[in-house]
Amino acid sequence: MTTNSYFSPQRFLNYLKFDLKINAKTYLFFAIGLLVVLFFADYFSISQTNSTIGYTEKQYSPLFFVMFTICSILVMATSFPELRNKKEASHYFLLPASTFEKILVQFLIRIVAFTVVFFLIFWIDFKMTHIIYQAIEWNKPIAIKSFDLFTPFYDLTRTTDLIAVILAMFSVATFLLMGSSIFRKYALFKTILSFGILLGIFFLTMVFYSHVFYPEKVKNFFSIEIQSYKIRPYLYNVQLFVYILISFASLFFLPLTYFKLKEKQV
Amino acid sequence: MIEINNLSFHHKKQKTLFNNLTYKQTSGSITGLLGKNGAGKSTLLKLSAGLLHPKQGSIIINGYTPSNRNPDFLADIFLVSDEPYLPSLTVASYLAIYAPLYKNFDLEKMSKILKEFELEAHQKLDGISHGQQKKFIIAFALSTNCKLLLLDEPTNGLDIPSKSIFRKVLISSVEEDQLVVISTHQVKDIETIIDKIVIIEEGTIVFEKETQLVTEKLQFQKLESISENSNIIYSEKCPGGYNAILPANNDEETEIDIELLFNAICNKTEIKL
Repeated sequence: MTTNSYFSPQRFLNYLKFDLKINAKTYLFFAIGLLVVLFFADYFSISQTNSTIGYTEKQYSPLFFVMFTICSILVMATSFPELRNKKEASHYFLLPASTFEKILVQFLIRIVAFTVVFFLIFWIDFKMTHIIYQAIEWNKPIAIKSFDLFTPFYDLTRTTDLIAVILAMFSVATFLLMGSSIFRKYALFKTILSFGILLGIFFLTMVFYSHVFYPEKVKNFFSIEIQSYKIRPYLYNVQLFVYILISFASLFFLPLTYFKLKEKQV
Repeated sequence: MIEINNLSFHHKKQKTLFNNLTYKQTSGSITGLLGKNGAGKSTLLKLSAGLLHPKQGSIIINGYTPSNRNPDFLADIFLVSDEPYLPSLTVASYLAIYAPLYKNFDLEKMSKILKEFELEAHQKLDGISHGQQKKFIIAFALSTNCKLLLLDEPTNGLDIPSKSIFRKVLISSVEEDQLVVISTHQVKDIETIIDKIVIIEEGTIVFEKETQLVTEKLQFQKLESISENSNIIYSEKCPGGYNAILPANNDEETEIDIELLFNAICNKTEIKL
């Protein structure tokens, strides 16, 4: 086996071009749809603002994260659309590219490109909505701060927090990608459900260990008791545990996606 | 080119389809894979293409294990399924998007075959009939110049003139280093183009011979009566008499009647060549 069996730059480029050409209309309509949906969300958010306080990061950042989460789930959990029916799946598996290249294309388009496009569209859309709002509702002026592309992340002043948020987003994204490669029917619903189950299992495991290690401290059956202490200034042991968990989750999800796709039969 | 050793396979929750199947086929031929419905023809093609994985045994195609889906293997194999998937594109757009994926794709050959099949570049693939879709994908498959072409029921949905164009195009397009496996139960459609007959029944290869050998050793005749002929291997009643298989007579070679041969084998007639 040579690396060529897994990745060849020329073949990958050919396959990427193929995907972009064959799905050009879908991607274009999605971008337009996103522009419209975000416009209405922004408009609604601005219109609900108290004019005496004005529109600040406190409204802008939560709106960004809510919309980004919803759209990410919709985009990432519907990756590998060809796997949804047998005819298309056969056609997809027989396309001359490696499994790794097929995953990489989905990863680049559904995670990387989507994130970049979302940041840009959200920012541009907000500016547009602001102008349109002021033109329509000229008698109800609202002071709106000037936001830039990365405003939602400015609250995360410590680098460790910023890295943790990015890694958490990355882990969830890879989980959604994995779900879409495993489930043939109702992939979106099943992926969200399995994410919920995973969180539930994690919660119950923590409850179980709380009862095992701190039986005298747990207040009720479902409470979690964790001994928290500072490792360094601004870094608690629990924080470190979460950082490690979210950093390594994607290292598990991505290979699983690869092997699930490789083993799939039609 | 195709090497199947002790292959065992069954679909989920179903009885065994192939048990210890062994089969070898070198390139440079057009092989007819015949069998009744449910005999396992399409499954064997899917196993050869890597869409299904064997439960036991091995399949080696052009030196690759199909289930690994090695990209070099995929670039040299084309499976035309009974109901091909075609996206909502025009013929010209499909070629512009798909052809670059196959390094040996021959655009000139494609346009010649499209002309033979009377297909136009502006036609939308999801707007044409099933038969026309079939013709398009066959044309595309032949133009990829893949070493292995697996055609599953290629003549299904084709009208009579298209079937004869298909035969003509196939014979003129296939090169010495290629292997074409045609799976069909419409045996009449391919009897003039295949040079090897493989018959599958209940997951077992019950007949595997070169057509040349069959025509050398057997005669296919229409007889008015069969009562006075004791040499008959197999016969079937037909309008005006009987279609019969007889041992070859040295001075006379007849055209092969694959349907009759197929029926003979399906009726457990022992044919020694």
